[in-house]
Amino acid sequence: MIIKTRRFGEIDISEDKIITFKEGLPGLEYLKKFIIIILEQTKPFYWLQAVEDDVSLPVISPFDIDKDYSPIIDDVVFEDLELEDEKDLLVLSVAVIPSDINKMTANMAAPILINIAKNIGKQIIIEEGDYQIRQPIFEAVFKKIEGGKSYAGSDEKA
Amino acid sequence: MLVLTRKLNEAVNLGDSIKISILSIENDRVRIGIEAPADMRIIRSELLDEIKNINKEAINTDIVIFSKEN
Repeated sequence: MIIKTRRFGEIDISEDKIITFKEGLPGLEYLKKFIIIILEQTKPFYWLQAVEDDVSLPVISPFDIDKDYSPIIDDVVFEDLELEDEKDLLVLSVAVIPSDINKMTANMAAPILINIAKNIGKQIIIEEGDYQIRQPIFEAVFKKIEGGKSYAGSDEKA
Repeated sequence: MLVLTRKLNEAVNLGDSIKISILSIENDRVRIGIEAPADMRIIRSELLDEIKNINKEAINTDIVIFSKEN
């Protein structure tokens, strides 16, 4: 199916790439279907693009920010995800990138978990541990882009 | 909103599987005990609100491109 997006233009998606979020995302409960978009130019950020509305969130692997990231996840969550093999688990953090990019943050306390074998996703909230919902990530991101030059390109405003 | 008044050590039952108990009352703090199924999300409201805000803010990002210098 083809969807039209502001950020990425027209994309042709195959059904087997659509990830179902039964409860949507907090604040965006009406969006139950997403795809992951990988753009070389925006790595280490990836994009979670909604299928039912033209909305996309930048996401980043929390391990790029903290290699020892180890949130405590209840077994009941793995049941919700129908996870059979831990290798099928993809963990992503929602990033907020303001116009002053020095202030970019990631939500390390509410990771998005995706079972890539069954295309089931869920955003969970970790209350234990010192993870922050607005963890500054600018420095960690720039370490990942060695010798890189960066600029923030504005979307063309409609 | 249903409003009830409880004293210390009293409780409220919601449906078949949730029980909320008043464990202690001290100055401006009330300690609340919650028994609920493991798959039920229990979260401080202000934290949930902030997470919702973050998701809504995230969708308004300008695209950010990092390019390597030649």
